[in-house]
Amino acid sequence: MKKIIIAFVSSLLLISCEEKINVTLQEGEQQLVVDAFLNDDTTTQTIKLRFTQPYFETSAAPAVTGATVTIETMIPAFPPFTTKDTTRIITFTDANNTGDYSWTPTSGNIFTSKLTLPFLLHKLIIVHKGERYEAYSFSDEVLKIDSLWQKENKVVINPTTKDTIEKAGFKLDMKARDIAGRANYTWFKTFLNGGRIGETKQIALAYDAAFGPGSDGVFIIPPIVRDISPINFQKGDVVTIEANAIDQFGYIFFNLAQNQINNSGLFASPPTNVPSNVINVTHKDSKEPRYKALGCFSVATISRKTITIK
Amino acid sequence: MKSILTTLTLCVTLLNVSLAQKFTISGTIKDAKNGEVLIGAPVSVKELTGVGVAANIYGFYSLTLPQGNYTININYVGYATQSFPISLNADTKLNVELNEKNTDLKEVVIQAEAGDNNIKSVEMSVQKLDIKQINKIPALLGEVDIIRAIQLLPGVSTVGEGASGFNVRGGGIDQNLILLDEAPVFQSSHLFGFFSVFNPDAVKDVKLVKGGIPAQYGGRLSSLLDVRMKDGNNKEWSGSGGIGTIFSRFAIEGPIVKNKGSFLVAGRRSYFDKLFFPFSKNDAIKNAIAYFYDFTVKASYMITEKDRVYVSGYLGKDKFKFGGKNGFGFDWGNTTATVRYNHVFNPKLFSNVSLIYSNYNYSLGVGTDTSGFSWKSNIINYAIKPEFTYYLNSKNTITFGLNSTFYTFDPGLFTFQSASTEPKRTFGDEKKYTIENSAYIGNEQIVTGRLSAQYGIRFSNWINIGPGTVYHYKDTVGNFTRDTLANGGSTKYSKGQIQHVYNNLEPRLSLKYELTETSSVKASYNRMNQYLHLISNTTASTPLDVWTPATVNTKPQQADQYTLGYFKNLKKNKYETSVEVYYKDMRNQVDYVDGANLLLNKLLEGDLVSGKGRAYGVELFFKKTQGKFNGWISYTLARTERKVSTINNGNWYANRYDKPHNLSIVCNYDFNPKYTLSANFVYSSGTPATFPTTRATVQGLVIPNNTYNYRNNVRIPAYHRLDLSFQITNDKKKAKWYTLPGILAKVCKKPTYESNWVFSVYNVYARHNAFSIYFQRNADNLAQTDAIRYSVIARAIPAITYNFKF
Repeated sequence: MKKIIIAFVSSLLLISCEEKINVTLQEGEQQLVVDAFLNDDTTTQTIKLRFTQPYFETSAAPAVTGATVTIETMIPAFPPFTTKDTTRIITFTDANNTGDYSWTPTSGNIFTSKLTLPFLLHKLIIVHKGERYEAYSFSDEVLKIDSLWQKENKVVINPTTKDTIEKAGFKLDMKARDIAGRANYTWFKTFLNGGRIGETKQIALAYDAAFGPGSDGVFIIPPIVRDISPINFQKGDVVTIEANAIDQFGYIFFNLAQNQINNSGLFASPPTNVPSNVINVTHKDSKEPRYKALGCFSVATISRKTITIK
Repeated sequence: MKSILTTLTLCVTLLNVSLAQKFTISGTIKDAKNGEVLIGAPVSVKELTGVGVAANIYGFYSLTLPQGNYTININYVGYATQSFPISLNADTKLNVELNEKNTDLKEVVIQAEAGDNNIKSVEMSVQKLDIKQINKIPALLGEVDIIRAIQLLPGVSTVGEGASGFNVRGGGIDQNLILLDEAPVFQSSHLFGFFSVFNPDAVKDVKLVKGGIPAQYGGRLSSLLDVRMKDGNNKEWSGSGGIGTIFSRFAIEGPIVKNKGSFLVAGRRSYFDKLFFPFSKNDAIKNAIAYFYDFTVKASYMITEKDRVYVSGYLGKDKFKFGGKNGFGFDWGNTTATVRYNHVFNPKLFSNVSLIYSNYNYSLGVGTDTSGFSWKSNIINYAIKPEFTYYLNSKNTITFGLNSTFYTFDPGLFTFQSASTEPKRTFGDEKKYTIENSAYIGNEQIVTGRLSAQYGIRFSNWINIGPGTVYHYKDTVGNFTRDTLANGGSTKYSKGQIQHVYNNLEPRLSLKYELTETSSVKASYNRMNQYLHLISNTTASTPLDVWTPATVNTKPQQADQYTLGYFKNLKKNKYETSVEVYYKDMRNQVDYVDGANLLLNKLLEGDLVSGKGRAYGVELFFKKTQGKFNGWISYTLARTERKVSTINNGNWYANRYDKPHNLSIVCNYDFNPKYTLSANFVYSSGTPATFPTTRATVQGLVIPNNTYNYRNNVRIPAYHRLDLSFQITNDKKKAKWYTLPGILAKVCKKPTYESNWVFSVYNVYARHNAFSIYFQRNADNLAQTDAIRYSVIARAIPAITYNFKF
């Protein structure tokens, strides 16, 4: 939404300008970046560990290898009160030394075929070069996408160069009702013919049905629905929308990350570092940046709906 | 009792009350042409050096002198000096009408020298701008603007084009008390600060007070911008207006009852959306709505010689909608109304009672009524303000008064409907109610011929009242949201119940010592309290920022300011120079924890952190007031910094509006009365910014990160700009339409018609001044991240404006 305002205000007098410039940045220290967005899908789950890199570096982020990565999940006793709660420990391994630590669910009982179920508490433990990092995430129940349908959308033209940015096609409309009675945080991902798209654009993110309290239990509002169509879809496209019930920190993380990434124009806010829920417990009180981790650990349950554009 | 008597005796001695036979001369000073009262016109006595008084904002003056023969001089800048020989044997009324200097009336004594008010007056850190002066400054799109003009004065700065408001001596934009005929204006910007809300056609007088603020004003930390509307011409009908690229203006004024009552109506409406948008190839812009308008009305009536009433009103609105029916829109607007009643009890006691209403409202929304959301917020206040001026004797002028304001803060009402079949919901934070009371007394005293003092004290009182809920927070402060207490986290108050009270005393003092006839030193101290906070999550303020009151959890802002200045005029006041230094110490400045939720958050106070501020600087000013070549140079060297325990590792850091160097050069060359060439040049340091050091990639997002968590660790490039304008003023001539029959001729029975053409170029050498530098991923090469310079105005902007006056 912020982007819209910026574009609008800039275009008001048609006199503003955005141009690439060269600036010299202060050097920073290398820090651990944890990318651990996991879900209850039956496919392989991956945690990416990387280092930060100088801001203008164009290479891929350096991999963090040689870490031990485990997730401990408290499994409540079933039936209740007869047996004790158990802790399930899953180890994620980096088989190819690429910094991608993964685990594939195996068929069997419900606790081995999926990483999570609704209402479980997970603890991520990373040990790397003597530093121990921990993070917690609570998996919530996900909303159900009732229906998806297509709406025609016009060609998008660059107003100054007159080039076609995007040819005409279709956008999606969606009916999905927020779960009533408590705060829910939903992240909508879009897949085109099986591949994830739009991850670098506006993230479709809902806090209840909108941006916060007061929107509990109703349909996700149109401005958020708009964000699930990063492009104009064409006839024959198979589009899947995946709703992820992320936890509160996951929502805060995306919300702030998005603010920082799109922080431009008249409505820019003071840049701040995006906080992380990954805590270095070995050097808990240290203010030295090298002991701090960035990134986020979030475990979600998911639901999907697929549409073929006609 | 004894001590009281002693005090009284002391007061009497101090105030130079003598028991010799004395009489008072009083009256009103007006412009002979249109009957407008002349604010601040100085009245002096030729026989008594150092004795004098300035007309107040209603043009009233009073001077008490021993029996005798005197010559009363009234010497007001821009007007011909008038002298009146007087035998003072009884209280005397002397109403004066002054003629503008360029008239050639024989009986008027024209003195060669202009006013030396800057030397003689005890006021310091004050900038007055004459509308005629403002008119000459080359303006953006040819539109004369008060706020953009005051930004060329020492100590005043702005973050850049597109930032609303202005910063005075390192203060935030919320720290300026902006009064339009006594009514507070909470947002001074149209179109994100490109223009101000004041219609220059309706403005008579603009005064900016940066320091040494007298006791009758309070409620903001950094400055007072006192804008007075014209009363309207009470002698004959007249009008003025202009046609420009962005908007057009029109004002008409005239007598209701000749010499007794007058009115003024002025309006502006922008039309750039109608002019430019339909030609846009971008559909979203083609159908966009973007306009602003404002109306100003004023009427005044003199009931008797001693009673006068003024009614003024203002209504302004900015409206934007983008992306068609289901798009995104926002708007904001001010409404103010003031009724003032002047009464002269006796020649020594003048009073004014103001009744004030002010409403600032703003909203944003997406979509339509049946599908989408809207958010509305406002701040409304009602005030009553009785004020008295007692002209005790020729050396003491005492002012005292009261002020009581009732505020209603609506932090936001959110209405939304996710589909037409769904129920409409409204959700919002509770309204907040407060009362601000104040009482003040001040005296302006001529201590000796050379030493004058203005001193006073203001008592301010702030009461948060119910209905409403007060939340109680945990004590621990850090860079995280503070939670409410587990037990007793909130208290509910019923209507009228007192939640919290603040009382503060604000001493004020200004001193002037005349070193010579043409130079003086001045010093001042003031303490200010501000019970309002502007909550903003943007680096530059926008009209959508939320005003919130001081509460038990958010203490009022407080500042102490110390100022010292040296003033010197050269060549019979042809050149005015001044140097002022100031230091301002500010407390309870609000800042935010990372990720603070500022909208629709009933626990907002838990996301606020309190910090300290300091601002200091030196201001140099040189002005050439006369001659074909005139103008000024202003240079300010200043810093403004903040310290918050949770930000920048607890170290001092530069405010977003910190600009160490700030230079303005304004010059006009009047070839003859017909042609004027004007130029202004501004240079200022780049504003501070926070740049990343590294980047982190998570879920495909490239997130900038500053390893050391520094705030404002770098500066964007310096800002500089040159503007030019050329004015052609056509001689007064007989209006052609004057010969038209019917009502038009009757209404406009003025024999003359004046017009001028203004050709201007803003940002002549098309500098791409950075508003900000931001960092983002390259859209074509996702591995690459770039620094982008954002310039709000990135080319030279020519404009033609046609102004007329009849």
